[in-house]
Amino acid sequence: MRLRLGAVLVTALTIGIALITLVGLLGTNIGPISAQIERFGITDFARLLLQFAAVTAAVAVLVGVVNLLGVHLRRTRRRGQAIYSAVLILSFVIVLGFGILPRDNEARAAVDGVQIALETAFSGLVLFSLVYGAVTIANRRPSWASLLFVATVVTVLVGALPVRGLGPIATVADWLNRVPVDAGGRAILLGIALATVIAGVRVLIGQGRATRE
Amino acid sequence: MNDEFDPNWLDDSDQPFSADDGMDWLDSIGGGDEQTPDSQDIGKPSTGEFDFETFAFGDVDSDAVEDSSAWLADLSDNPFDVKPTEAPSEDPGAIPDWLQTDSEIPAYTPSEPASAAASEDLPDWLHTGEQPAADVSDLETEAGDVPLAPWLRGADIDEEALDKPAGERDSGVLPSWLQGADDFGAEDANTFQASFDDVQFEVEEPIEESDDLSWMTDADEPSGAQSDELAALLSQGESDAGVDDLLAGLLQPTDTQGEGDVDLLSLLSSDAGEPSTASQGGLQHFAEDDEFLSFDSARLNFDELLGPNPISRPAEIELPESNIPDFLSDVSVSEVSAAALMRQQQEDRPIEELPEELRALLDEGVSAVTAAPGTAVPPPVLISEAPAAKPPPGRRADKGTRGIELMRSITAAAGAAQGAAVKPARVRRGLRYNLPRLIVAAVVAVAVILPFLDAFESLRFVQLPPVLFGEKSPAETAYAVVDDLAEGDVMLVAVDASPGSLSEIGGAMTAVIAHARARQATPVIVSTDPVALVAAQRMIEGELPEDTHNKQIIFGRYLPGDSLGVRDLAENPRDALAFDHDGRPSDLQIDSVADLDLIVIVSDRADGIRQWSEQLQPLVSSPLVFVVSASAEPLARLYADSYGAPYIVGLRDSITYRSQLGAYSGPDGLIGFGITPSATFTATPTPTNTFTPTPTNTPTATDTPTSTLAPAAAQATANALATARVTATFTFTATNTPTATSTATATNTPTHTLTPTNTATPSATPTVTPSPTLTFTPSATFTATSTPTNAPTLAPRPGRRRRCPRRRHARRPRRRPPNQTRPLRRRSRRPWPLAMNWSRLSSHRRASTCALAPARISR
Amino acid sequence: MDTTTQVLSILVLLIGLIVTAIVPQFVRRRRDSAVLRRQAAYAAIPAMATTAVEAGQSMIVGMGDAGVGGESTLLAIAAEAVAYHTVAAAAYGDRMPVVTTSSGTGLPLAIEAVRAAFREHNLPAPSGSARWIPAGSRSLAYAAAMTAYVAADRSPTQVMVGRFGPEIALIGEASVRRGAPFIGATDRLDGQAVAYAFSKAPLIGEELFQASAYLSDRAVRRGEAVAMDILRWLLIAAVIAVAAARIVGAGG
Repeated sequence: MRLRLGAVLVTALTIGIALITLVGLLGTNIGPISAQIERFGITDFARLLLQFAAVTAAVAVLVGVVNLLGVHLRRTRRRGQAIYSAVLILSFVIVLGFGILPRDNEARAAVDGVQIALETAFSGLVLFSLVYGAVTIANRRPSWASLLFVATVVTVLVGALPVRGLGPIATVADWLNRVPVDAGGRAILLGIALATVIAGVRVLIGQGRATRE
Repeated sequence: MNDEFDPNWLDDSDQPFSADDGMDWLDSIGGGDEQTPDSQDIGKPSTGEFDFETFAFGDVDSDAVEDSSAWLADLSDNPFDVKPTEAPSEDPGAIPDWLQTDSEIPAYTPSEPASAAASEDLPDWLHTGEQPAADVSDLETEAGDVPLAPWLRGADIDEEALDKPAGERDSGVLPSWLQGADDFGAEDANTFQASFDDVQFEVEEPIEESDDLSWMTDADEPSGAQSDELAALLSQGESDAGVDDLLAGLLQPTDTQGEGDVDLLSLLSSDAGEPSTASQGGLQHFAEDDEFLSFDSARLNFDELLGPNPISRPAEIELPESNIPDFLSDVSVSEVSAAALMRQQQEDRPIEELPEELRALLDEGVSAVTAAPGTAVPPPVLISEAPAAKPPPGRRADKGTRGIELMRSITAAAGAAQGAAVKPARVRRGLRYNLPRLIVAAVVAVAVILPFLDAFESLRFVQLPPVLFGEKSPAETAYAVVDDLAEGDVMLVAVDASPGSLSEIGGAMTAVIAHARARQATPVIVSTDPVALVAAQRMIEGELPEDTHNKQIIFGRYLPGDSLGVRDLAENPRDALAFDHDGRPSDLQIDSVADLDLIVIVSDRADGIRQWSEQLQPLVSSPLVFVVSASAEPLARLYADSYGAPYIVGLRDSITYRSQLGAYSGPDGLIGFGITPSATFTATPTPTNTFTPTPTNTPTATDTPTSTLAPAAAQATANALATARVTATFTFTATNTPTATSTATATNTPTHTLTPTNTATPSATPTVTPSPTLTFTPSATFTATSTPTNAPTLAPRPGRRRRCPRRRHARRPRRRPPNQTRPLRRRSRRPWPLAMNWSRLSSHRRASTCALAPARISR
Repeated sequence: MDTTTQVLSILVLLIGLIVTAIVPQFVRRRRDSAVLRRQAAYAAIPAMATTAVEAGQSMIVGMGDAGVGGESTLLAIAAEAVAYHTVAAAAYGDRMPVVTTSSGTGLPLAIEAVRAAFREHNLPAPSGSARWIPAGSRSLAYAAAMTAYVAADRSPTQVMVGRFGPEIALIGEASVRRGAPFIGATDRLDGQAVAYAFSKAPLIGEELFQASAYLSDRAVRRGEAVAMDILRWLLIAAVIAVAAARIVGAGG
């Protein structure tokens, strides 16, 4: 078995940091063990690691932006792709200028006119896509599950209408939200949480590197 | 292969194969690799599914086949490995005489069962479980000595076939490894193949040594001698029946039987009609042409040669009729092929019974075929195509071109014949746009636009949001919680909504912040999304510009890392809130999140609610309030119920909140901004503002109305609904002659100071008499029946300190000391966050957890 | 964090550690002891890849907003596993498979998935096969970009496994409308509901984390799926026990 020093080091570091952070976050206020944990400074070190992680996440975004700019700068030299990359770079410079220069309403204009406008428009499109999805599932996989899916969607939507006369349907919709949706949502979230625990434990015991195998 | 660090105790290497695993045939051949096969993780099938014994092949370096030509002489009578009926020549380069150059093309001979002796020299890998017609016992003996390949030896040797006498044995019996195969007409195929037994490539004359055709093994040395010999071989076709005889022999039996040479031309001309002179000449020229490879098939008209009628067998050859399947009795090369007939024999499965994957493939194929040409879309800008594979070099273009031309000529001739008979399908040109889709789009557009027009007021059938929240509703509780803020309190507002969602819940967010400002609390806005933070800032600055400019509202910095940022805020709030988004000191004295007096979470998804509440709620004793979108309400309710947090949902609650707060002053008579019906005010010793009250009429009692708020034009109209719903707990004694004073006097009684920022005059009025002589007792109560009809106006003019009785709230949350832990009993009232995942049972077969279908392998 | 939550968290982690460490080893020794139930989505992915390769279409894998360093770290790792197996199945085609993400911290995972997949085939990883679409979290712009891919790239096969919201409806609708195969899965409930409607085969909840168990032939991965099953049944038993205790306590 051939060992690579880099892989060994990375795995050892991962396990160590994960254990320290876990102990520091969970080992407080649980009796005499907590005192020992705090005495050795594990709690403070765990908090420091959290700050490092938060800063690293922010820096990662910055690195990604720099990489993106580099990619699009190179693409400006390609035929057919130059115009899109040029527009992106120009937009980046303009918005960056809004943040650096003394601003009044420019940043708000960028957010109002571009970001919010686009997201609002796409949000409207999502409505039609959802309707199309409900029709699709009824056509492609006609089964009891798909019929129940569509019926539930229609009931909840109709029950949410503030229209007189739809009281009974609103009651049914409210019951659907409180009982089946509540139970199903909790079940799915619990399953995801369990899987997350397994995945995290896998990282803790050093099998994280082989997650894709 | 993954060669990374992989400790032994974590090693997942498969157990090495041993000799006991049935792989000993590898040893017999030349030594097998006993190590585990190099496993690739790309969907490689597990060893449990495949039987290597069945599909293993011999090692290419084995000695089973000594030379490439001797096997031809050692062929058995099995249709899948043709075997001569005579003893093979010992010449390693011996070939059947039909491939000889000097002799004539041999004629067909009646089949003779393969001799048993021929089986002696069978290569090992060709040995089957079947035995030739004669000398079964010999073969059995030999079979035991010869190490047979497992796929030939098979786990289920047809012992019965071995014991059968020759006459009863099926001449077309399959090897053992094919015996269990699904019979898609294989039985008929076997019978059909068995007919080959009678027409084999027999060698009438021994192969002369001079006829050395070793050139067939030297494919790398094209030479002129090859073409010469081959041409000479083909030139024998003038008078010899060889390949054509074979073909003809398969097609139709004749009454005559005999042996001998068959004239090719006579063969072709016997039933198909006189071939054209040109075709005959072309064929002869073809046969005599020196350069076979340069043959141009365009010179021949195969259709004319073959003709519409089936070509009959030569008179000398007769196939036993029993060996020819009936469905092939009248077939010819110009009609349906044998394979097609056999396919038709199968009972085609209807499309409805096909599994989903096959139906999807069928649909894709149909759509690909029917796709209109010329609609190729250029590749997208952002995706670059991989370079296409280049054709292998070294091919001579002329041969390829000629082959292509040959095929084109054949297909063109066939297509022309069919084209005349087939009427071209009429191309239906539909509408450019989908009409039903246009109609639906038009209907939706009309339904959305028309309610905005006053002429179609009847379409506005949706109820307007209420002016006030319902009693004991979650939103009312949220309003009351915010209303309980005191001067100097710090309210954290966590914005976790996308900018698009802020158009729905932004109204509630700004109303809550305005409400907090009305209580002289300090809102602090934070977010883990920088864009959301900017969008929230934009909205708040538009609503409360003064407060934002005066730094009465603090916009904290962006918290990176999503949940890490929230955790960082929970652990280190002083550092997280030390500076605002502009980098200026915020001057907040927050040492712990427990110092926060109220936490408002604004989110359009349940994950945001969960993330913030899970991180902050255990560390604080202050209440939580959720402001969520309608789409997140069902899931947000889970956490709201768990944490006992009230919530405001969607646009309707936003409007009602603002209405209750008085943020709007519109024609519908909403309460003016700055006047809150609640009475939990802090006492201030010094009045800051004065105002001169206007004389009002004596209030008289009226019935409690049930309708909605009356139009605001009538100042005297009692806003009975508003007053009835108000939970203000104060009483007043009205005087008939309210007197006006110029200044407000300070009293020791608790007074309520209101410093509204909006001085708009409300159209709807509360039932409070603006008389400085009135004394509001905090302990007094208010009854709806005593609501005056002509309620005096109340103008929130600056300079007047309002003196309102202290209102007892019905559900005021208790403030716990920061260090007080929650009792376990309260914790136990929370629903246990566990549930069964029913979705798995509904989508999978009910069985034990781990004992279902085998793992599906990708490749 | 209060004491009860801490104790429960430690207990769950310990049980998870024990089960995850022991069960896969047991399954590895006895390879036939664990037979996984059929997952239609994981059975369809290789077939979709093969079809895409044969049809000369590209394959696009999306990880959504899943990234490293936040709450979605482990989800990003699971999505990377799906991306790896999917790209490996389509790596030998003429069209380059593409892995996209809208999270900057997910880009290294996408790059590594592509490199490892091509390395398995002894091929160099093509440049530009991992794309970061910096559209932010919960962003509709990412979904719009993926919709453009579907429209412009002759209906490629799409496997969207990661963190998505309701905007996955845009991607699914574009794929279904053009007859392109689509599989979607996310850990968000609202996005999951939408993905269920459009997917060729659904992946719900924790099934998203089991890609390696189904698409790989390593027994250890199957053992982890078995460990997850064991934990789930323990959880069910705990729920039933608590509910029964409450009923008994309330009745008594």
